[in-house]
Amino acid sequence: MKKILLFVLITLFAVGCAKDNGEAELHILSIYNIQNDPLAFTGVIKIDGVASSFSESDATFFTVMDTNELLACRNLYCGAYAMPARYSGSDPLPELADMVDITGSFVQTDDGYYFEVTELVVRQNIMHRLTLSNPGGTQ
Amino acid sequence: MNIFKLVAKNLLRRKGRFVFTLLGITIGMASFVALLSLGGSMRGEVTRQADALGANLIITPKNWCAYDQISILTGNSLPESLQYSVLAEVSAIPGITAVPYLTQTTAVQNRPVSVIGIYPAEMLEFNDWRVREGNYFSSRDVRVLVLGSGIANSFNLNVGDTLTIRGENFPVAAILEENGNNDDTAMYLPLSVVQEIFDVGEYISYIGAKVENIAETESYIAAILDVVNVSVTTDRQLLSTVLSMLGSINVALQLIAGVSLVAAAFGIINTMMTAISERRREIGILRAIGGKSGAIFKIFLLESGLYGFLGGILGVAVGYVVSIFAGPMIAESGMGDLLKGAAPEASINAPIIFAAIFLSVAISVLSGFYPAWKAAKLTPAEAMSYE
Repeated sequence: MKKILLFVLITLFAVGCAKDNGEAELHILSIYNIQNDPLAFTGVIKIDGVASSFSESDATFFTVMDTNELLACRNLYCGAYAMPARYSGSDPLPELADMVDITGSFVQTDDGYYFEVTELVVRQNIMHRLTLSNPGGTQ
Repeated sequence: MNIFKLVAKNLLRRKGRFVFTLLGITIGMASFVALLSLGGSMRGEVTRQADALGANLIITPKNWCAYDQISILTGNSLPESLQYSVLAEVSAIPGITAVPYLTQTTAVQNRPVSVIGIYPAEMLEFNDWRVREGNYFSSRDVRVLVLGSGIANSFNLNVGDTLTIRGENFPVAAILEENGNNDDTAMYLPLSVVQEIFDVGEYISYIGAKVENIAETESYIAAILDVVNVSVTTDRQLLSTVLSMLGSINVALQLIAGVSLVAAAFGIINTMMTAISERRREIGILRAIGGKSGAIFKIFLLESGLYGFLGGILGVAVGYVVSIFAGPMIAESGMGDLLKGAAPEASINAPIIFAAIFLSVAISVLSGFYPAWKAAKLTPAEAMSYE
């Protein structure tokens, strides 16, 4: 009986230690959370979303849409807000319709802002759940 | 030795096996109780928030989906897609008092917070707000903030502090008294100011309306639909939409808890089958000295029932503790949007306790039925010849 109690206590202690030693997790925000007032979010933040388009003139720029909104409208061209982001790290950029977790901060420019990505995690591609029809003919 | 002492002695013969089998049923019951407790609490919280909504009717654009309508209860930002002119047309209908809402999102300390554009004086009366400290809006275009009590408490904000919204600094002029709904978790600015800083033109998100005679609600709705092309939802319809979604989530979670209960039941069957295998000679001796097969059946059924009884009691206790810790975590999650302003509290009552223990015992007795029957049908010769 003592061995069992010892086993349970050690297991609980190990679980507790593992939890305590974890890095302080950033609260994950959605594109929906930030779209009205992005520059109100200062410093390093973490956002999840879906890569929705890529710049032709600058290979480091891409846009990110809200996952829930995209899954509701099921179309990359449904007119929902797309956040501009820039990633110049060593990992490749996400593919179209990749769900991503991006960590970084907003940078204000003369004509707006973009999200400077310092850490990029690609989770899964949801292209099979979307359509690519572009009724307006433009992106 | 009476039968209960014998059962207890048998169970404790292999203490390790006893503890792990008991843990199986305890964990299964704990998850069941925790989900039941939190589910009931969330349901109560959503109902309370809907009761405190203030408006009898919600007027929204025609193309809004259920998710948008739920955001009215949660206070989340909503598309600015209703023309401002609709407000005047609705307000002109006799017996209706209408107020506009324009809900947007900004950030305080990097956390998303709703900022709602309102008609200050009308809203104060409409929602029966009381000012806890500071001076409420003096006009419809004054550029100051009024905070819900929850926001002020969460971010430790006081009258005189300044917050930046869309690059413009706004001093906090007043903090409202706690209202008990999502009004507590938003910041307020005059409607015209929100329209200007968020650049939404002459649009609002939705209109809340109170009717003079609640029994005539249907005719008020008809009157609104006669003059404007909008969607009108009653507060009860809104509540039932949210509750039905919550109900579906609860059923899914309880099914998951059910799987762990089934796994625990198989754990009991396995334990009892092993016990029978180990105690064949003992069963044979009992039968040889005149023990009836019914008595053998009863002993094994009581053993598995005791697992259920103890697991049920422990499961209720552990489930209650889990729900205490899980409440704030749910409030932080996406589901917490439904409960803005309050984390679901662990809510456990006598019916839940008795139902959980009864279910646990019932599952355990059912699980023990087959092993007990196998034990009872052994003849003394079969049992004693076992090597």
